[in-house]
Amino acid sequence: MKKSVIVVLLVALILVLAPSTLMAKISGDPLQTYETPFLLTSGGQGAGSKMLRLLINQTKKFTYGEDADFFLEDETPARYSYIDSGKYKALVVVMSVTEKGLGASGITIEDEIGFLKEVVKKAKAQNMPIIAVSMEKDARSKISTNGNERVIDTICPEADWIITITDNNTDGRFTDLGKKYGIPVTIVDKPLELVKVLPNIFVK
Amino acid sequence: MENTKKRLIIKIVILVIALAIAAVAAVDFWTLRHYKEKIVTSPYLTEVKWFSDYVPSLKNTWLDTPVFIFDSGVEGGTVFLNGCPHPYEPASTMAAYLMIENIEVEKGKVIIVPRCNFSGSTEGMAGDAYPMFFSVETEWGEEKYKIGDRYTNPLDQWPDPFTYVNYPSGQNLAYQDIRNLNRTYPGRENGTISERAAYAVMEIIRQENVDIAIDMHEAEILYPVTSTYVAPAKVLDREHFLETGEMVYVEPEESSLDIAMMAAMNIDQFLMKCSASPNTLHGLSHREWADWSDALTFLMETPEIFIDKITGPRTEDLMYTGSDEFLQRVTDKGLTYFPYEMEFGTPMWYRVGRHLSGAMEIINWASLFYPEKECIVSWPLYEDMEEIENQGIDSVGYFLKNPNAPENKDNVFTVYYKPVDNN
Repeated sequence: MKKSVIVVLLVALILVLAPSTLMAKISGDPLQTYETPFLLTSGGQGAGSKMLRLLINQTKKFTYGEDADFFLEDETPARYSYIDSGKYKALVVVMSVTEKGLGASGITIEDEIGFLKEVVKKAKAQNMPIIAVSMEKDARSKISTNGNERVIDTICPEADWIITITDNNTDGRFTDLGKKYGIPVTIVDKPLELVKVLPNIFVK
Repeated sequence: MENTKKRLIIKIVILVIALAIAAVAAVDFWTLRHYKEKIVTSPYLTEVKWFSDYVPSLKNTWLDTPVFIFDSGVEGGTVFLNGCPHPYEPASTMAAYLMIENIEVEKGKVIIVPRCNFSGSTEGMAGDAYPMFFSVETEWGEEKYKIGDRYTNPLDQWPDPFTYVNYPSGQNLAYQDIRNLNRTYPGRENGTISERAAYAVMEIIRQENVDIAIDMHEAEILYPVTSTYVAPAKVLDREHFLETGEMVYVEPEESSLDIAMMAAMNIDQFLMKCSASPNTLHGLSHREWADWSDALTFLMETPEIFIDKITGPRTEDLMYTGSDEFLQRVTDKGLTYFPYEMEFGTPMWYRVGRHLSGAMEIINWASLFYPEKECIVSWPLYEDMEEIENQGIDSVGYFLKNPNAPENKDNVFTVYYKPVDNN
């Protein structure tokens, strides 16, 4: 067998055997692990929570439903009830304000901030760790009163772990929050990389 | 007596000057109203229909428009691409033209409307000091294309009501939106001329069994929904609505939002976000197409700074290059929804390329999610245009075909509100 063929086969074998997380471009703090089932919700009513649900489904490792491995509930007060039920072991909040405007959902940003404060309070009461995720492209602003920034200021200081994509942390916003509040911050290069790392985060 | 004569002469001179100015303006208006764009259709063209084939009362009206059909003959998905719903967003028409001229279909069927609101393309925004045309540099010289307005030309639909009530949602909208094609869906067969055009679009989607419907737009960068896909998370329970009149929204069996989200996350060449269509905003394609047909529906927005209200002079150059110092200042203050750099701008090729690749990304992801909707199709993509631009050549012009070349003479089509000689 030619040497080059052996090298190709060896590289292929390493790629197959290597843990999938090694293939993802990750920086910052190492991945944390949490138990299932977990509850997914939106911070700002953007499409981010639905994007993460889609990516979790793409892993083919988790079942979706109220009594399955994970469940999504963006609306209030329904998400309060799910947190209060005590059956979920972690809360994942995807931070992004809807671009079509919260008015289309019949609420204001003040309403949503108020709901999120209550969500955090209820999760703490249930001892649910909170994972803050920023994965939707351009869900950031230079203006501190922007809805996305206000959601970040509401959720991140209360979180147990922050996950962000590289493009949303170019100004070091999440890294700084992590340092200030002693919270681990993991940076994933692209949103689709999450498909590779999610199975290593949630333990069934 | 002499004074009276003098005054009469002055009045006549003023009148003549006014008439001369009106004549110059009239020539401009007439030129735009009757301007005919020529395209060279791909050899894959199988049929040309018209809106009036779906809504006969549109025949010989300025809302009639050609519908280009490319059928591979191989069973697969059917894709509908809509250009020019708002004529002052011309990258959508240019993207449709590049598709029509360069398309190759191996599986399934593709339907393209390049000038959805033809009437709106015959009215400029001269009152807002907008140019009426822009030019594309090609190998055979400059080709001129219309810019148009956002609305149906008032010559074709007038007057506007005090409040426009969308049918059948009953939602009140601004008065001029009765002439806004992207507020009149799902339309009415016997409604205003804009509503009838909207109904024709719905009938194309329903009668041609469209699986994937994509509406191509452009948006200001001071508007949050720019550089974005919009798709519905939920759809109207039609049966329940028709029985009770109550609008209830349910999760669809097949999700266009999932496809749009995957496409947005996968696109690396340019920023593409994704937004869910609100259930409560009516008349828009991404809402009503999904509610009143079985198609997976998407709207795409490119960043078009030409329609931002705070730019410098609205010149043809601004339309084509998208470079403006005032928007740069606003972006530097964090007030825009797009990472704008005036040195690059938002040139026409970039916006056209975004639509070409944005649509292809949707078609490919839809095939992965739902293999029975697979459509195998090709046309130039963003990266192809970027490569040409890097050689210092206008890539929009590069991918257009010469309508005067002898080898193209059998495939030339004149885009107008009715068939003309060579069609």
